[in-house]
Amino acid sequence: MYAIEVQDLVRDYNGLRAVKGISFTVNAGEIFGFLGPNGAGKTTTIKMLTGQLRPTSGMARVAGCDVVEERQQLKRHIGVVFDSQNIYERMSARENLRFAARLYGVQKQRVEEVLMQVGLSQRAGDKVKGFSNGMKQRVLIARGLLANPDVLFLDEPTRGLDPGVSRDIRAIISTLAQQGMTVFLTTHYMEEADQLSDRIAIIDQGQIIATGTPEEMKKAYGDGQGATLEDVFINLTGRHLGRGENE
Amino acid sequence: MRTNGEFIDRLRIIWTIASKDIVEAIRNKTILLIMGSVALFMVLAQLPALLKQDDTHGVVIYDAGGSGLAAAVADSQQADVLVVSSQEEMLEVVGDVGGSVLGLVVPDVQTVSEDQPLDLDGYFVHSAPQSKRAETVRYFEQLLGQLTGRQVQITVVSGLVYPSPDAVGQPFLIALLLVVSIITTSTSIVPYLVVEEKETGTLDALLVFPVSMGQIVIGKALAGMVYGIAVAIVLFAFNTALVVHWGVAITGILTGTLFAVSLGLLMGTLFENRQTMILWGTTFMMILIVPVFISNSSGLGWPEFIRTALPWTPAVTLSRIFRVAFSGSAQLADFLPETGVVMGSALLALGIMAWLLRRRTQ
Repeated sequence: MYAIEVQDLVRDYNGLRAVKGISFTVNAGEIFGFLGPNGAGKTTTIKMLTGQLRPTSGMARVAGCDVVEERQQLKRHIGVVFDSQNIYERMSARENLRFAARLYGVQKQRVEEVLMQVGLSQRAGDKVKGFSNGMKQRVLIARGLLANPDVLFLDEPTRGLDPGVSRDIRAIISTLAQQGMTVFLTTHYMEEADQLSDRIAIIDQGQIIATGTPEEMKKAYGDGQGATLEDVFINLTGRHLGRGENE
Repeated sequence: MRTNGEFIDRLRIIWTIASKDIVEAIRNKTILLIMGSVALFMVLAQLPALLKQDDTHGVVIYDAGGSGLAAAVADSQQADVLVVSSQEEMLEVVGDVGGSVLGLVVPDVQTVSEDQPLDLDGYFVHSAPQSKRAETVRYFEQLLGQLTGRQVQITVVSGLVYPSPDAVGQPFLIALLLVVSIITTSTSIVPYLVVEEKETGTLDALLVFPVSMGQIVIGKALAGMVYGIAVAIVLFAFNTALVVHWGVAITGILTGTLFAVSLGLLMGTLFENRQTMILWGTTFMMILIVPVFISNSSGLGWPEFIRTALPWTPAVTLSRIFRVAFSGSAQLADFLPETGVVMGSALLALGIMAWLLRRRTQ
């Protein structure tokens, strides 16, 4: 069984088709990189796969749950780390996680476990307001891990972070995958995608234009020896991806 | 079929959201400022009554025997006097004016033997404080004794005088204060809680937890109700003496808070940021509250349609429920239509909000 199975998924916004019938599968336990420029349909796809947005048509199953028909069950099997740092800033890291734990119905002990997992135990009692972006990102990842999800969605997890923190976050993601968690990762950073992903899909203008392992992609669409994923993207779309702070 | 466990699980989620918002509201400077402003408004509105050191004594006299005693009291300029033409009118005026104004029925003085003390029936509104009653009775026994040259004895008849629901005195002011405070509190705090979650993106995060939009809405409504009810309790604590029908008062608090919270939720759904919320929210609140202030001046040449519609606006009907709670008679028919209007308005606001939310998630 696939961890994620998507077939002919379509989403329209005010008459415009943002996602144009995409299909792909993600195997259990793999890190799946979902790449594309701004406005390509990445976030819309994530919103549909996490039950935040209803697809106009098509089918998607995540962790065995239909994203439309079994939305509430789906939420118990997934964790989501958003591209914005949406945490309660007047609360401490521990209070944020305890609140989320109560909503999931998980034990308080789990809060301490995930705090340790993301390396925040020492500062858990501090107000999030005083945290750096990197620490906030750790809180977000910890929140995503609280319910021990089958599938973790990470939307641009290292955007805006300095290289050292990005490296730490990538290490956390790798460890999660090694422990058998399926990770659905969107990123602008080609190197990051190359380093972390088992397989990749490139989406552009609402359509998936290529899927495969990073090596397969470089071989099929790169410029020969030493080709990068960025070369692949440029060759496929004729455009550059947006560059970020840690590139 | 849903099990008890699922039901309890849903309640747990709703309470988790509500308790988070209750605590968050206390930590939020803007909400504290709103609460502080409402508290200040409440204190300022109550202050004149609390600090009143008024030495003047008021009396409403029905001079049944045409003795001229009422005119003599007025001429003495030692009391505020109102002369009425029937006992019913006297009771009505004493009830509506409130405070410690004394109602007196003066019999035909000539029919009472000169060596007999002049026995008069006195009336106070039910909420008049005991200490003030005794002092007022002593004052008028002395004054009337001086004016008639006879011993005067006033016997207070208890339990007869209550304000009418149309009273314009203290009951109207307290009802107005309750309506303004409840509506201001809940329609400020609830949309703020929603809009802040939208602005910071935490609402999106809530929606990927195993939580439905309905549970989020109910959780926030509960938090808003806690604050609305807290404000009402504080106000009632200052005015317990006024309340005759606690059941009606509680009905008013619950329906009024529910109405204000529903409006707050609708505003929170409509507005995307704090600036637009403050601008439009304040305007909306003024439109909502102003009818209560002008509801007692409907005779001042307002157009007919305004005079007809005004008593049925939600804030005025809510104020009426509280005034019924302060009055002598509280038959179901006295406050049921008003309760229906307030509840209907709350349901209408919730219905529009549900429709807007459904449109957004489609």
